[in-house]
Amino acid sequence: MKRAAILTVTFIFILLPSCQDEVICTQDLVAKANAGFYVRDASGQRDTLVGSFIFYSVLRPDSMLYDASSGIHRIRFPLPQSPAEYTAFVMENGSLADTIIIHHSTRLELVSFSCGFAAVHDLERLEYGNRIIDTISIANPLVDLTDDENLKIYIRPAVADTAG
Amino acid sequence: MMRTLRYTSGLLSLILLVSPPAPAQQDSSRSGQGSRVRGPRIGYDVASLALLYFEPERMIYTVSVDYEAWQDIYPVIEGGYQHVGIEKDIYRYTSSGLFIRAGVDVNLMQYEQTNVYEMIYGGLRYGFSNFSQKADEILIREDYFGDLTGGSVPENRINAHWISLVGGVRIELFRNVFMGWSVLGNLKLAMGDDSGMVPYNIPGFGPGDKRASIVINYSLAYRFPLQSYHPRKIIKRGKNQQ
Repeated sequence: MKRAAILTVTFIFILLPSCQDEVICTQDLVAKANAGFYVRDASGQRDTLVGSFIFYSVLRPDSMLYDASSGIHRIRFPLPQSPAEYTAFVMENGSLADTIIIHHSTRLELVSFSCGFAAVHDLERLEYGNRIIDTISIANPLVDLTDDENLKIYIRPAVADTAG
Repeated sequence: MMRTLRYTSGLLSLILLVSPPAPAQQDSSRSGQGSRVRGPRIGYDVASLALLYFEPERMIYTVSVDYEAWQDIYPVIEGGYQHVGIEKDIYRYTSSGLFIRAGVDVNLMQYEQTNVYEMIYGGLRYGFSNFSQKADEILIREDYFGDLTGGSVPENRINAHWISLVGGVRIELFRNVFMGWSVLGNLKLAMGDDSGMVPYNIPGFGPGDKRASIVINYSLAYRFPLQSYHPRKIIKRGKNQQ
Protein backbone atom coordinates (compact mmCIF):
# COMPACT_ATOMS: atom_id res chain seq x y z
CA MET A 1 0.00 0.00 0.00
CA LYS A 2 2.92 2.30 0.76
CA ARG A 3 4.24 1.79 -2.75
CA ALA A 4 0.82 2.49 -4.17
CA ALA A 5 0.62 5.73 -2.24
CA ILE A 6 4.02 6.90 -3.45
CA LEU A 7 3.14 5.86 -6.99
CA THR A 8 -0.01 7.95 -6.86
CA VAL A 9 1.73 10.97 -5.42
CA THR A 10 4.48 10.89 -8.04
CA PHE A 11 1.84 10.64 -10.73
CA ILE A 12 0.13 13.77 -9.45
CA PHE A 13 3.41 15.70 -9.55
CA ILE A 14 3.92 14.63 -13.14
CA LEU A 15 0.37 15.56 -14.08
CA LEU A 16 0.32 19.04 -12.52
CA PRO A 17 2.63 20.78 -15.05
CA SER A 18 0.20 19.79 -17.80
CA CYS A 19 -2.38 22.18 -16.35
CA GLN A 20 -2.82 25.25 -18.50
CA ASP A 21 -4.66 28.50 -17.94
CA GLU A 22 -7.29 29.38 -20.54
CA VAL A 23 -5.92 31.75 -23.20
CA ILE A 24 -7.83 34.98 -23.67
CA CYS A 25 -8.25 36.01 -27.33
CA THR A 26 -7.15 39.53 -28.20
CA GLN A 27 -7.03 39.08 -31.96
CA ASP A 28 -9.16 40.92 -34.51
CA LEU A 29 -11.19 38.26 -36.29
CA VAL A 30 -12.32 40.26 -39.33
CA ALA A 31 -10.33 39.54 -42.48
CA LYS A 32 -9.71 42.69 -44.53
CA ALA A 33 -8.44 43.19 -48.05
CA ASN A 34 -5.36 45.38 -48.33
CA ALA A 35 -4.96 47.56 -51.44
CA GLY A 36 -2.12 49.91 -52.31
CA PHE A 37 -2.22 52.79 -54.79
CA TYR A 38 0.38 53.02 -57.53
CA VAL A 39 0.97 54.92 -60.74
CA ARG A 40 2.87 53.92 -63.84
CA ASP A 41 4.62 56.70 -65.66
CA ALA A 42 7.76 57.29 -67.68
CA SER A 43 9.92 56.62 -64.65
CA GLY A 44 8.25 53.28 -64.01
CA GLN A 45 6.00 52.14 -61.17
CA ARG A 46 5.80 54.10 -57.94
CA ASP A 47 3.61 54.47 -54.89
CA THR A 48 1.13 57.31 -55.05
CA LEU A 49 -1.23 59.14 -52.77
CA VAL A 50 -4.90 59.73 -53.45
CA GLY A 51 -6.59 62.83 -52.06
CA SER A 52 -10.23 63.60 -51.30
CA PHE A 53 -10.86 59.89 -51.39
CA ILE A 54 -14.27 58.36 -50.78
CA PHE A 55 -14.75 54.60 -50.68
CA TYR A 56 -17.84 52.57 -49.78
CA SER A 57 -19.73 49.40 -50.64
CA VAL A 58 -22.74 49.47 -52.94
CA LEU A 59 -24.50 47.45 -50.21
CA ARG A 60 -23.83 50.26 -47.69
CA PRO A 61 -24.06 53.61 -49.50
CA ASP A 62 -24.97 55.18 -46.18
CA SER A 63 -21.68 54.24 -44.53
CA MET A 64 -18.30 55.38 -45.82
CA LEU A 65 -15.25 53.22 -45.28
CA TYR A 66 -13.13 56.25 -46.26
CA ASP A 67 -14.80 59.66 -46.32
CA ALA A 68 -12.96 62.52 -48.07
CA SER A 69 -9.71 61.23 -46.72
CA SER A 70 -6.50 62.86 -47.96
CA GLY A 71 -3.06 61.48 -48.53
CA ILE A 72 -4.23 57.87 -48.73
CA HIS A 73 -1.68 55.44 -50.18
CA ARG A 74 -3.19 52.21 -48.83
CA ILE A 75 -6.66 51.11 -47.84
CA ARG A 76 -8.09 48.20 -45.86
CA PHE A 77 -11.68 47.10 -46.23
CA PRO A 78 -13.78 44.09 -45.21
CA LEU A 79 -15.74 41.75 -47.45
CA PRO A 80 -19.10 40.27 -46.41
CA GLN A 81 -18.78 37.43 -43.90
CA SER A 82 -21.58 35.41 -45.46
CA PRO A 83 -20.97 33.58 -48.75
CA ALA A 84 -21.32 35.91 -51.74
CA GLU A 85 -20.19 35.55 -55.35
CA TYR A 86 -19.11 39.18 -55.67
CA THR A 87 -19.07 42.48 -53.78
CA ALA A 88 -19.15 45.94 -55.40
CA PHE A 89 -17.45 49.04 -54.08
CA VAL A 90 -17.46 52.67 -55.25
CA MET A 91 -14.31 54.77 -55.29
CA GLU A 92 -14.68 58.54 -55.71
CA ASN A 93 -12.03 61.15 -56.19
CA GLY A 94 -13.37 64.63 -56.60
CA SER A 95 -15.93 64.54 -59.40
CA LEU A 96 -14.71 61.20 -60.73
CA ALA A 97 -16.01 57.80 -59.61
CA ASP A 98 -15.33 54.15 -60.47
CA THR A 99 -17.09 50.97 -59.42
CA ILE A 100 -14.94 47.98 -58.45
CA ILE A 101 -16.60 44.54 -58.53
CA ILE A 102 -14.62 41.90 -56.65
CA HIS A 103 -15.53 38.30 -57.45
CA HIS A 104 -14.57 36.10 -54.50
CA SER A 105 -15.41 32.97 -52.52
CA THR A 106 -15.70 32.84 -48.75
CA ARG A 107 -14.96 30.08 -46.27
CA LEU A 108 -14.70 29.72 -42.51
CA GLU A 109 -11.35 28.98 -40.90
CA LEU A 110 -10.60 28.21 -37.28
CA VAL A 111 -8.22 30.84 -35.89
CA SER A 112 -7.84 29.12 -32.53
CA PHE A 113 -10.12 27.43 -30.03
CA SER A 114 -9.84 30.44 -27.74
CA CYS A 115 -10.60 32.99 -30.50
CA GLY A 116 -13.02 31.11 -32.70
CA PHE A 117 -13.52 31.38 -36.45
CA ALA A 118 -12.84 33.97 -39.13
CA ALA A 119 -14.25 34.25 -42.63
CA VAL A 120 -11.43 34.30 -45.18
CA HIS A 121 -11.86 35.12 -48.87
CA ASP A 122 -10.26 33.93 -52.08
CA LEU A 123 -10.20 36.68 -54.74
CA GLU A 124 -11.01 35.30 -58.19
CA ARG A 125 -11.35 38.19 -60.63
CA LEU A 126 -12.09 41.90 -60.83
CA GLU A 127 -14.19 44.27 -62.90
CA TYR A 128 -13.67 48.03 -62.64
CA GLY A 129 -14.21 51.40 -64.30
CA ASN A 130 -11.47 53.49 -65.87
CA ARG A 131 -12.11 57.09 -64.87
CA ILE A 132 -9.78 56.98 -61.89
CA ILE A 133 -8.34 53.50 -62.20
CA ASP A 134 -5.80 52.55 -64.86
CA THR A 135 -5.66 48.86 -63.89
CA ILE A 136 -5.90 46.59 -60.83
CA SER A 137 -3.82 43.46 -60.29
CA ILE A 138 -4.33 40.75 -57.68
CA ALA A 139 -1.08 40.54 -55.70
CA ASN A 140 -2.29 37.94 -53.20
CA PRO A 141 -5.68 36.28 -53.72
CA LEU A 142 -6.06 35.18 -50.07
CA VAL A 143 -7.74 37.78 -47.87
CA ASP A 144 -7.13 36.69 -44.28
CA LEU A 145 -6.11 38.18 -40.97
CA THR A 146 -2.63 39.20 -42.13
CA ASP A 147 -1.50 42.56 -43.53
CA ASP A 148 -0.34 41.12 -46.86
CA GLU A 149 -1.21 43.32 -49.83
CA ASN A 150 -4.00 41.78 -51.90
CA LEU A 151 -4.60 44.39 -54.63
CA LYS A 152 -2.41 46.85 -56.51
CA ILE A 153 -4.61 49.70 -57.78
CA TYR A 154 -2.88 51.68 -60.51
CA ILE A 155 -4.29 55.19 -60.74
CA ARG A 156 -4.43 56.99 -64.08
CA PRO A 157 -1.40 59.28 -64.22
CA ALA A 158 -3.50 62.35 -64.90
CA VAL A 159 -5.61 61.69 -61.84
CA ALA A 160 -2.60 60.77 -59.72
CA ASP A 161 -0.82 64.02 -60.53
CA THR A 162 -3.75 66.10 -59.35
CA ALA A 163 -4.74 63.95 -56.40
CA GLY A 164 -1.81 64.07 -54.09
CA MET B 1 10.57 24.44 -8.54
CA MET B 2 8.10 22.08 -10.26
CA ARG B 3 10.93 20.43 -12.21
CA THR B 4 12.81 19.76 -8.96
CA LEU B 5 9.70 18.24 -7.41
CA ARG B 6 9.15 16.08 -10.48
CA TYR B 7 12.70 14.74 -10.41
CA THR B 8 12.57 14.13 -6.66
CA SER B 9 9.29 12.27 -6.86
CA GLY B 10 10.56 10.22 -9.82
CA LEU B 11 13.64 9.30 -7.80
CA LEU B 12 11.43 8.29 -4.88
CA SER B 13 9.49 6.00 -7.18
CA LEU B 14 12.66 4.30 -8.36
CA ILE B 15 14.01 3.87 -4.81
CA LEU B 16 10.70 2.37 -3.77
CA LEU B 17 10.68 -0.12 -6.58
CA VAL B 18 14.26 -1.39 -6.31
CA SER B 19 14.01 -1.89 -2.56
CA PRO B 20 13.55 -5.47 -1.32
CA PRO B 21 10.08 -6.82 -2.00
CA ALA B 22 7.41 -6.49 0.66
CA PRO B 23 6.61 -9.63 2.72
CA ALA B 24 3.38 -10.22 0.78
CA GLN B 25 5.39 -11.13 -2.27
CA GLN B 26 7.16 -13.99 -0.50
CA ASP B 27 3.91 -15.82 0.20
CA SER B 28 4.68 -19.51 0.12
CA SER B 29 1.30 -20.32 -1.40
CA ARG B 30 2.34 -18.68 -4.68
CA SER B 31 4.11 -20.48 -7.47
CA GLY B 32 7.30 -22.13 -6.36
CA GLN B 33 10.74 -20.65 -6.64
CA GLY B 34 11.97 -20.49 -10.24
CA SER B 35 8.55 -20.17 -11.84
CA ARG B 36 6.57 -17.19 -13.09
CA VAL B 37 2.86 -16.69 -13.64
CA ARG B 38 1.64 -15.16 -16.81
CA GLY B 39 -1.62 -14.43 -18.52
CA PRO B 40 -3.45 -11.58 -20.24
CA ARG B 41 -3.49 -8.43 -18.16
CA ILE B 42 -6.37 -6.08 -18.79
CA GLY B 43 -6.07 -2.52 -17.62
CA TYR B 44 -8.06 0.70 -17.61
CA ASP B 45 -6.63 4.23 -17.60
CA VAL B 46 -8.09 6.01 -14.58
CA ALA B 47 -6.10 9.21 -15.29
CA SER B 48 -8.90 10.22 -17.64
CA LEU B 49 -11.02 10.87 -14.56
CA ALA B 50 -8.77 13.88 -13.92
CA LEU B 51 -10.12 15.38 -17.14
CA LEU B 52 -13.43 15.93 -15.37
CA TYR B 53 -11.63 18.70 -13.48
CA PHE B 54 -8.78 19.83 -15.73
CA GLU B 55 -10.42 19.54 -19.15
CA PRO B 56 -14.15 18.91 -18.77
CA GLU B 57 -14.83 19.40 -22.47
CA ARG B 58 -12.93 16.21 -23.29
CA MET B 59 -13.47 12.64 -22.14
CA ILE B 60 -11.40 9.62 -23.13
CA TYR B 61 -11.74 5.94 -22.28
CA THR B 62 -8.66 3.76 -22.64
CA VAL B 63 -8.32 0.01 -22.21
CA SER B 64 -5.10 -1.97 -22.51
CA VAL B 65 -4.22 -5.62 -22.84
CA ASP B 66 -0.70 -6.99 -22.43
CA TYR B 67 0.81 -10.41 -22.03
CA GLU B 68 4.26 -11.58 -20.97
CA ALA B 69 4.95 -13.51 -24.13
CA TRP B 70 8.61 -13.93 -23.20
CA GLN B 71 10.27 -13.18 -19.88
CA ASP B 72 10.12 -9.43 -19.30
CA ILE B 73 8.77 -8.77 -22.78
CA TYR B 74 5.15 -7.71 -23.04
CA PRO B 75 3.38 -7.21 -26.35
CA VAL B 76 0.61 -4.73 -25.69
CA ILE B 77 -2.48 -3.33 -27.40
CA GLU B 78 -4.26 -0.21 -26.17
CA GLY B 79 -7.46 1.18 -27.55
CA GLY B 80 -10.09 3.66 -26.69
CA TYR B 81 -12.70 6.23 -27.54
CA GLN B 82 -12.64 10.01 -27.11
CA HIS B 83 -15.35 12.67 -27.26
CA VAL B 84 -14.82 16.45 -27.28
CA GLY B 85 -17.59 18.99 -26.91
CA ILE B 86 -16.85 22.72 -26.72
CA GLU B 87 -19.67 25.23 -26.45
CA LYS B 88 -18.94 28.92 -26.53
CA ASP B 89 -20.93 32.03 -27.46
CA ILE B 90 -19.16 32.18 -30.81
CA TYR B 91 -19.15 28.51 -31.87
CA ARG B 92 -19.94 24.94 -30.98
CA TYR B 93 -17.34 22.25 -31.72
CA THR B 94 -17.69 18.48 -31.46
CA SER B 95 -15.25 15.70 -32.18
CA SER B 96 -15.33 11.97 -31.51
CA GLY B 97 -13.43 8.91 -32.58
CA LEU B 98 -11.46 5.79 -31.82
CA PHE B 99 -7.77 5.05 -31.48
CA ILE B 100 -5.50 2.04 -31.16
CA ARG B 101 -1.87 1.73 -30.09
CA ALA B 102 0.12 -1.47 -30.51
CA GLY B 103 3.63 -2.25 -29.44
CA VAL B 104 5.83 -3.87 -26.86
CA ASP B 105 7.07 -3.09 -23.36
CA VAL B 106 10.34 -4.38 -21.93
CA ASN B 107 10.99 -4.64 -18.21
CA LEU B 108 14.27 -2.96 -17.35
CA MET B 109 14.28 -3.94 -13.71
CA GLN B 110 16.34 -6.79 -12.31
CA TYR B 111 14.86 -8.82 -9.49
CA GLU B 112 16.00 -11.46 -7.08
CA GLN B 113 12.98 -13.74 -7.29
CA THR B 114 11.33 -14.89 -10.49
CA ASN B 115 7.82 -14.29 -9.14
CA VAL B 116 8.34 -10.53 -8.78
CA TYR B 117 6.22 -8.66 -11.31
CA GLU B 118 6.95 -5.05 -10.55
CA MET B 119 8.38 -3.19 -13.48
CA ILE B 120 10.21 -0.19 -14.66
CA TYR B 121 9.79 -0.45 -18.35
CA GLY B 122 10.38 1.12 -21.69
CA GLY B 123 8.57 0.45 -24.90
CA LEU B 124 7.46 1.45 -28.35
CA ARG B 125 4.04 1.93 -29.87
CA TYR B 126 2.48 2.52 -33.26
CA GLY B 127 -0.71 4.53 -33.00
CA PHE B 128 -3.64 5.11 -35.31
CA SER B 129 -6.82 7.12 -34.89
CA ASN B 130 -9.94 7.63 -36.95
CA PHE B 131 -12.17 10.45 -35.80
CA SER B 132 -14.56 13.11 -37.03
CA GLN B 133 -15.06 16.77 -36.17
CA LYS B 134 -17.47 19.54 -37.03
CA ALA B 135 -18.42 23.04 -35.92
CA ASP B 136 -21.68 24.95 -36.04
CA GLU B 137 -23.49 27.92 -34.51
CA ILE B 138 -20.51 30.02 -35.60
CA LEU B 139 -20.81 33.73 -34.88
CA ILE B 140 -18.43 36.31 -36.40
CA ARG B 141 -18.97 39.95 -35.49
CA GLU B 142 -18.37 42.56 -38.17
CA ASP B 143 -19.48 46.19 -38.00
CA TYR B 144 -19.72 47.20 -41.68
CA PHE B 145 -21.54 44.38 -43.47
CA GLY B 146 -23.05 42.84 -40.35
CA ASP B 147 -22.46 39.77 -38.22
CA LEU B 148 -22.35 36.24 -39.57
CA THR B 149 -24.64 33.97 -37.55
CA GLY B 150 -25.31 30.24 -37.85
CA GLY B 151 -22.09 29.51 -39.75
CA SER B 152 -20.87 25.93 -39.88
CA VAL B 153 -18.01 23.69 -40.92
CA PRO B 154 -19.40 20.34 -42.11
CA GLU B 155 -18.34 17.11 -40.48
CA ASN B 156 -15.17 15.60 -41.85
CA ARG B 157 -13.41 12.36 -41.04
CA ILE B 158 -9.67 12.31 -40.28
CA ASN B 159 -7.03 9.59 -39.96
CA ALA B 160 -3.84 10.13 -37.97
CA HIS B 161 -0.76 7.95 -37.52
CA TRP B 162 2.04 8.29 -34.98
CA ILE B 163 4.80 6.44 -33.12
CA SER B 164 5.44 6.57 -29.39
CA LEU B 165 8.29 6.04 -26.98
CA VAL B 166 6.99 4.77 -23.66
CA GLY B 167 8.39 4.75 -20.15
CA GLY B 168 6.56 3.65 -17.05
CA VAL B 169 6.39 2.11 -13.64
CA ARG B 170 4.10 -0.69 -12.52
CA ILE B 171 3.67 -2.37 -9.14
CA GLU B 172 1.67 -5.39 -8.02
CA LEU B 173 -0.78 -4.05 -5.50
CA PHE B 174 -2.35 -7.36 -4.55
CA ARG B 175 -2.00 -10.73 -6.20
CA ASN B 176 -2.66 -10.25 -9.92
CA VAL B 177 -3.83 -6.65 -9.36
CA PHE B 178 -1.50 -4.01 -10.77
CA MET B 179 -1.20 -0.26 -10.63
CA GLY B 180 1.13 1.99 -12.55
CA TRP B 181 1.71 5.10 -14.58
CA SER B 182 3.33 5.59 -17.95
CA VAL B 183 4.44 8.49 -20.09
CA LEU B 184 4.18 8.31 -23.86
CA GLY B 185 6.23 10.62 -26.06
CA ASN B 186 4.40 10.77 -29.38
CA LEU B 187 5.59 11.83 -32.81
CA LYS B 188 2.96 12.36 -35.50
CA LEU B 189 3.72 10.70 -38.81
CA ALA B 190 0.73 11.71 -40.91
CA MET B 191 -2.73 13.23 -40.66
CA GLY B 192 -5.16 13.57 -43.53
CA ASP B 193 -7.37 16.67 -43.20
CA ASP B 194 -8.63 19.16 -45.79
CA SER B 195 -11.26 20.96 -43.71
CA GLY B 196 -9.07 23.92 -42.75
CA MET B 197 -9.92 23.19 -39.12
CA VAL B 198 -7.06 21.83 -37.02
CA PRO B 199 -8.41 19.19 -34.63
CA TYR B 200 -8.68 20.17 -30.98
CA ASN B 201 -7.33 16.81 -29.86
CA ILE B 202 -6.44 13.58 -31.67
CA PRO B 203 -7.69 10.53 -29.73
CA GLY B 204 -4.74 8.71 -28.20
CA PHE B 205 -2.19 11.25 -29.44
CA GLY B 206 -2.89 14.67 -27.93
CA PRO B 207 -3.28 18.25 -29.25
CA GLY B 208 -4.13 18.31 -32.94
CA ASP B 209 -1.91 21.29 -33.77
CA LYS B 210 1.28 19.67 -32.44
CA ARG B 211 3.75 17.45 -34.28
CA ALA B 212 4.89 15.94 -30.98
CA SER B 213 3.01 15.41 -27.74
CA ILE B 214 3.12 13.75 -24.33
CA VAL B 215 0.36 11.54 -22.97
CA ILE B 216 0.27 10.37 -19.36
CA ASN B 217 -1.64 7.28 -18.24
CA TYR B 218 -2.38 5.92 -14.79
CA SER B 219 -3.86 2.49 -14.94
CA LEU B 220 -5.32 -0.25 -12.84
CA ALA B 221 -5.05 -3.74 -14.26
CA TYR B 222 -5.89 -7.32 -13.51
CA ARG B 223 -3.90 -10.27 -14.76
CA PHE B 224 -5.64 -13.54 -15.43
CA PRO B 225 -3.13 -16.13 -14.15
CA LEU B 226 -3.57 -18.72 -16.84
CA GLN B 227 -0.13 -20.24 -16.97
CA SER B 228 2.93 -20.92 -14.87
CA TYR B 229 6.30 -21.32 -16.55
CA HIS B 230 9.96 -21.64 -15.65
CA PRO B 231 11.94 -18.73 -17.04
CA ARG B 232 15.28 -19.41 -18.61
CA LYS B 233 17.02 -16.64 -16.71
CA ILE B 234 17.02 -16.16 -12.97
CA ILE B 235 18.72 -13.04 -11.70
CA LYS B 236 20.32 -13.31 -8.30
CA ARG B 237 22.00 -10.68 -6.22
CA GLY B 238 25.34 -11.26 -4.57
CA LYS B 239 25.57 -12.93 -1.13
CA ASN B 240 26.31 -9.61 0.60
CA GLN B 241 22.96 -8.22 -0.55
CA GLN B 242 20.77 -11.12 0.67
